[in-house]
Order: sequence, then C-alpha cells, then structure tokens
Amino acid sequence: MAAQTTTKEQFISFASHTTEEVSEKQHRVEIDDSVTSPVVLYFLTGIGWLVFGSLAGLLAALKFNLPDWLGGTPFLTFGRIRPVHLNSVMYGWASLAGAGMIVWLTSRLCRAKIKETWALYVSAVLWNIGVAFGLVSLFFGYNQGMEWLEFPKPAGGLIALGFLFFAYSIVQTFRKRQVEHLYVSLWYILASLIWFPLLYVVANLGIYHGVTEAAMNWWFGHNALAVWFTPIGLAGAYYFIPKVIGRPIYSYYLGLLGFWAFALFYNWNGIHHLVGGPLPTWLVTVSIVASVMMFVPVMAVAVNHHLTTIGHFRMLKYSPTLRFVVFGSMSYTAVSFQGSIESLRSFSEVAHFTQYTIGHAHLGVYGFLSMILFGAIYYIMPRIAKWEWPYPKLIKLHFWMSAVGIALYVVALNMGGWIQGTMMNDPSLPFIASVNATKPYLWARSLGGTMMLVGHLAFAYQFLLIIYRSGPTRYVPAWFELRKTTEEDKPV
Amino acid sequence: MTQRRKSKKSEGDKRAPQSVPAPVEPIQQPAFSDEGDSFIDSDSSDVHKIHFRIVSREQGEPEEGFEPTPSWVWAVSVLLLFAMGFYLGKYGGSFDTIAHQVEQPQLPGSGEVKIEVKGDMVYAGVCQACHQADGKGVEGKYPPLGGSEWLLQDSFTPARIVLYGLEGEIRVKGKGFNNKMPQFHDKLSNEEIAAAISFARSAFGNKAPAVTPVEIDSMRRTYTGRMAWSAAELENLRKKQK
Ligand code: HEC
Repeated sequence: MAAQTTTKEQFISFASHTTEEVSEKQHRVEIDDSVTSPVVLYFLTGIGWLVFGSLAGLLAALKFNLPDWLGGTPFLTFGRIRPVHLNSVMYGWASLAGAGMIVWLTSRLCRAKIKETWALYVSAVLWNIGVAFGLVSLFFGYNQGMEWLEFPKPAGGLIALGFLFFAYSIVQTFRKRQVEHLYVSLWYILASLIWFPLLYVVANLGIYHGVTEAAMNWWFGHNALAVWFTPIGLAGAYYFIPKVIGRPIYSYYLGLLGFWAFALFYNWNGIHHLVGGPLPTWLVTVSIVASVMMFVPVMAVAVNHHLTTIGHFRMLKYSPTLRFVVFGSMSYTAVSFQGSIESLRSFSEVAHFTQYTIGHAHLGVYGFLSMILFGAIYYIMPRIAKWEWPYPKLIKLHFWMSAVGIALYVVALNMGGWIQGTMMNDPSLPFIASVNATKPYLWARSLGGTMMLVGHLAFAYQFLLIIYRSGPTRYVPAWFELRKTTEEDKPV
Repeated sequence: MTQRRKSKKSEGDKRAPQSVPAPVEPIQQPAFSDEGDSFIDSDSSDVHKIHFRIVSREQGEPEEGFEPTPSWVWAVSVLLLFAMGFYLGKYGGSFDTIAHQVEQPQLPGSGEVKIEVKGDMVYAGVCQACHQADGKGVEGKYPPLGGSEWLLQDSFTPARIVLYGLEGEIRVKGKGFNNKMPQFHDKLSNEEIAAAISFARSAFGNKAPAVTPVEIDSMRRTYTGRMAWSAAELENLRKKQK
C-alpha cells in the first residue's frame, strides 16, 4: 500500500543528480557495504542484551514493590539481578550498539572503507563472550563487590581485549582517512579510544584498599560515563542532527569549547559520590568544583545543537531519527545540569543514597545515550540493510513508550527520592517511614520500566525484520508522517 | 567551509540554501552495484530500487558552520570559573589530608550532645517487624503486646525477654505460641530497651508504668552470658520475686 503513494514519475525525478553527486553517493554506498556485517553483528547482539537487561531491570524494580516475590531462588534475588541488569545494559547494550554506531560513523566521516574488518569480528565475539561469562558469574553470586566493576576479572579481561581489537580497526580506518578536516564527532570518538583503556587498566590494577578503593571505585564508575558512554552519545548527536536536517552544525568554535572543557573537567567528577565520606576534604571539593564547571561544556553543546535545529523543529514530526536524537540531546542537557547541582554538598545531603540518584542515572544512560543510539540505528539500518523499516507505526510505538516511560521513571524517582531523603534526615521519624513513603513512586517507576520494555520489544522485532528484509516492501521512508513531496520540498 | 552561514536571517528558511544542481538525464546504468549483498530472499530488483531511493534522499555528510560563540556563553563560563575558584578556596581544606573539615557541626553548649532516645522509634525500627505496628502480633507466630500479661504484670519479665530472648511454648492472652524471639542485649543500649518497653507498656491500650535504663542495666548484669529464656523459667522467677 505504501508503494501506491509514489508514482514512477516521481521516482525518476528523485533520481536526477549531477554526476558529481552520483559519484559521492556511490562512494557512500561502498563505505556502507564495507561495514555492513560487523555493524549488524554489534547491533544485533547489543539489542539482545538490551531486551535481556530490561527484563532483569524490571524484575529488580518489581522487587521493591513485592519484596518476597521470587526471593526463594538465589539467582533471582535482588543482590544478583540488579548487577545483572546494570552490566547487561551497560557493557552489553550501550557499549555494543555504541561500537556499531562508531564503526559506521568513523567510516563515513573518514570517507574511507573500514579497515581490518577481521578485528571487528574478533572484538564483537570476545566482547559478547565476556559479557555472557560475566553475567553468568553474577547469577552464581561471583561479584567483585564494586559498582560498575562487578564482573570477575576474566570477564573484564575479555571485554578489554575486545575493546582493543575494536580500537585497532577504528584507528587504522582513521589513518587511511580521505579528509583533512576532522568533524566534531570524530574528536569524541578518538578521544574515548585513548581515555577508556587507560581508565579501565588503572581501575583494575588491584592496588587499592579501604578509602582509596572507594575513591577509585567512584572515579571509575563516573568516568566510565565520562570517557566512554557520553562521548558515544555526543558523537551521535553531533552527527545525526545536522545530517538529518541538512545544514552544518552551528559553530565550530562552540564545538571546540565544548570538547576541551569536557576533556578538562569531566574526569574529576567521580568523587562527588563520596560527599561526607572519610576522604580528604580537598578531594571532594575539587570534584564538586569540576562537576559544577561541567555547566560550561554542556552549555556549549546544548547551544550548538539548539541553534542548529532552530527553524527546523518541524522535521521532528517526520524523522524518527531526529526525534530520538533530539530527545537524547535535550536529556543530555537536563541530566548534566541536574548532575552539577546534585554534586553540591547541601543537595547531596538529601538526595544521595536515595532513589533520586537512580532517577538521575537513568535519565543519563537511557534518556540521553540509549535514545541517541535508537535514533542512530533507525538511520543506519536502512542504509546497510538496503531495506526500509517495514512498520513506521512500531517506530512510533517505540518512541512513545521509551519517551513516556523514561519521563515517568525519572520524575517518579526524583520526587520519591527527595521525599525519602528529607525523611531520612529527620531524626524524629523512624527509618521505616522513609521507606514506606517511596512505595507509590516505586510503583510508578515499575510502570515506566514496563513501558520501556514494550518499546524495546517493538524495536527488537522490527530489527529482526529489517535484517531479513521481511515485512511489507516499502518504497518510501518509514517516517512518522509522510510529507507531501512538492518541488521545493523534496525528501530528505 | 563553503557552507559558512551568511546571517541569522537564513535560519528561518526551510532548508539550508544550496545551489540547485542542474538536473541531468536519469541515470541509465545502476549508479552503484548491489554486489556484496549479504542479505537473501528478496526480489533483488526491489532491494535495488529501495536502496537507490534511500541513498538518493540522504543529505551530505555534516560540516561545521563558523558562527562565533555567543558572548553570553563566555560570560557565564568566566563567572562560573570565578565562583568555583572562590568555592575551592573556601572549602578546599587547605589541601590537607584531613576529612570532614568542612561544616564541622557546631555543638550546642559545651560537652557531649545528648541524643534523646524515643520509644516509638525503637519499637518501629526493631519490634514492629514481628509484633506489628498495632501491637497485635501475628496469629500463631508472634504473640500480641497489647494486653499481654507478660509485658504488663511486672517490669522485670519484659526486660529479661528483650535482653536475652525467649524460646519455646508460651501462652499469651489464652493463645498458644511456640516460636523464638532473638536476644537484644548485644544490639540495643539500656536506654533503647527501656524506651521500647516503656512505649509498649503505654501503647496499644496498655497503661503500665515506664521502665528505667537503670533497671535494664541491673538485669543485664545479673544474667550476663545466658541464653534465651523459657516461659516456665520466667514464671518461676516472677513467683520467687513476689
Ligand atoms: C524476630 C521477631 C521478634 C522481634 C524483633 C521481637 N520479638 Fe518479642 N517475641 C517474639 C516471639 C516469637 C515471641 C514469643 C516467643 C515464644 O514463642 O516463646 C515474643 C515474645 C515477646 C514478649 C512476651 C510475650 C508477649 O506477647 O508479651 C514480649 C513482652 C516481647 N516479645 C517484647 C518485645 C519487644 C519489646 C521487642 C522490641 C525490642 C520485641 N519483642 C522484638 C518475636 C519477636
């Protein structure tokens, strides 16, 4: 039925290009062909971990509401299912999908076919074995006991090795690049390739004890976001917003300010998790200072993206990619400003060690990073699968489930967490009162989580369809709404 | 860099101004080949057509514009830098290794702070899990405290129970129980135990006098090292004391 809306004449009129354009497009197709299999492998396994990880997350969430549910089965207890959730979505979904996006982006931005494809296959396989092995160990109760570093050493080692193979291929591609000028997204990608291995190795040296270990743990935990997950998200946002809209990013200079301030300040942030802890005061203070200074890079990125999009918000109506990515980019601004304020001592006294922090974390990793990855995958897949997404309605469902789900999740936990924190600080109230007060908010959180899971199932189903080129044959893009194609308004 | 934007006015335009390319003949031969196609089971001419259209509608790779950084962004950045420099100076703890230098609580008056122990809080935090918020207990598992002869008859019995635990058959308000209550002598202070018992003796419709920490302390010393009581033992002790 979709095919009926486009006549043959229109098709031919779209096809008229100058020869220069044709060769450029042909080059892009060659690049896409070179990355197809590794990218699909990364995405497919990443989405697998996403679905699995969301199930684990939902289970963990429901345990707050129904504490005795499934409590008799050791491997389904909260203490195991929660790290399973975290590691599955972070090292499985976000990292693998992010790696897939980086492969495609690097190739496209270097105007070069991907190099050393074998290294990408090796990387994807090692990485997935590492994650699977780590999760099985967590299910059996083997846990290193540090947040973000729960995986036992061998699993961590496999992932690190996978990362090195991945980085090798990206760096080789970069060295054979056919452009002089490096686009902003590439800065973030390359920087993260240097920063992340350094971080991982230093964190795993195993020479920390007591207070130093706590400091190292949070230095690592926050920096995993700073030097790996956030650069992926920003690289995506910097690429897809101007790409879909079809105009240059607003300002190179803002890009520079954003990048260097990010590089300077973000890596000091972790210790703000230990406000009030037995650390030297200056260490905590320096971390708070750096966290507040994060306003600068975040502002630079937000202004840059906003001024690029301005006047084109209309396109959010059509393009799923743009809608996901703009949602992600707005969440980045929100979550970063929130984080800067959370680091302040007076705020941390109430909000830390409550559900508030969980809400914040999800706004970052889901509202920002995952939404951008969804947008990226919706853009990349038709190009490498050579097939349109069969069901635009499912994309719509995915978007609304994810967007409303995460909004509900974050608002509920921020409110509930704040109430919980004030009650915990009130010496005239018993501790149990602060727990009971969070109950309705925790139900709302579980509802939000369920919605997100529904979105993921729609997404995963459609992903399987597109890689097998099944479903209805569509000749028109899977936009939310189809635009009337007129002369001055040709499709983007 | 040729894409440099002219003025802010152009932002209202629907699309970035690009010179319209002169249309040429529709391409005769495929502009790209469908080789290296790792996907199967589809009419390849369909795939080709669809892919062609996907590629055709794509915009060029993104570039940077060169608009200047808005001056308010610089202003805010510099302001923040100053404010945070001040913060670092004020709360930096002279870069000493001492923890908690900031915001040492100013204790009212001199000497120790006296923390008031509240019976309802100890009850809610410790006893409530078993004896319930309404003091009615759980049928067959946890005996009630409201109207319980064990709690109300004298002040020694509840002190003994809470300090060293209770085990075995017991009849409370005519109902039988056979369970185990843990000991609390190693978990709660004299003040806390006294407060909890006093609270229980005055809540749930009970009206018995309070118990003092001194009484608890003497009980604690008398029975140091013992295990859980049985109901019979308590009953005997009670009779002797009379
Ligand atoms: C882990 C559950 C548990 C906790 C916590 C607990 N109890 Fe008990 N309590 C019991 C059980 C079970 C019995 C009955 C023991 C038996 O069957 O021999 C009991 C018996 C009693 C009795 C005597 C019977 C009665 O109903 O009067 C008193 C008094 C009592 N508890 C007071 C307290 C106080 C005060 C606290 C808090 C400091 C407390 N208990 C905490 C489980 C508990």
